[in-house]
Amino acid sequence: MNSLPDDRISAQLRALQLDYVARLPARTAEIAARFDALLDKWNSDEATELRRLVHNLAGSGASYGFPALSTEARLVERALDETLGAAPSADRLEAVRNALRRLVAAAVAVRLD
Amino acid sequence: MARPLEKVLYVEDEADIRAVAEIALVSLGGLQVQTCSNGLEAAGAVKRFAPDLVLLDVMMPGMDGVATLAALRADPALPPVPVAFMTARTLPDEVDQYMRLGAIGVIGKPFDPLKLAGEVRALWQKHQEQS
Repeated sequence: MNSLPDDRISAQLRALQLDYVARLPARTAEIAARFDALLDKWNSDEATELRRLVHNLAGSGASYGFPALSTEARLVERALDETLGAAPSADRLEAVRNALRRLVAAAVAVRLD
Repeated sequence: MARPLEKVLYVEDEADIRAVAEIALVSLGGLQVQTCSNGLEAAGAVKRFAPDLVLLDVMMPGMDGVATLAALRADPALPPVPVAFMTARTLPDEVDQYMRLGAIGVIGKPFDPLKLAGEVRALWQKHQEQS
């Protein structure tokens, strides 16, 4: 196996990274909007879908070169885990909101080298 | 002598992760890779592609990775192809649980694209030595 990518592979990875970064604001906006909708009316299926979106961000961020994104998304995921099932308490929702704020900040801070 | 790893089926619902994994495994790792986006497609892909190894995301909507492994093992028409899970849940107890289910190993997510093929080959090598 090659340990370092050649120029062609580096270009492929760079193109993927650029596309990922370009879509990041829309992804975090969707996550925030879905959480706001849940605050209006709690729905376990929607909460599970929100968790899936956050999980995917956690699973991909570091692979695209943004480990802080994965770290913050993982914290949102854990906070959401505490809300799944019955209607969650205000404290647990506040914990999700705070974690989401940090995730959005991490997404805003993403910079390409 | 251990048979070299050539063909990998990767089952993952997240398109961004599939995309970077394909580059990591194909372009960097020199492997033949087929991907599918859910567990329901996995059995058909195993029949058509005949992979040496299946990499299974754990958390997928609908049929998750654990259920997919169970479905693959329950299908008498399929060969007992080795399966490794890819997951963020890599605490020792969690890994033990996956191994008890029949996985040959676990690869942590998020993964480093520059190291993924090496990790997959290391799992394969270990499995070959133990078989």
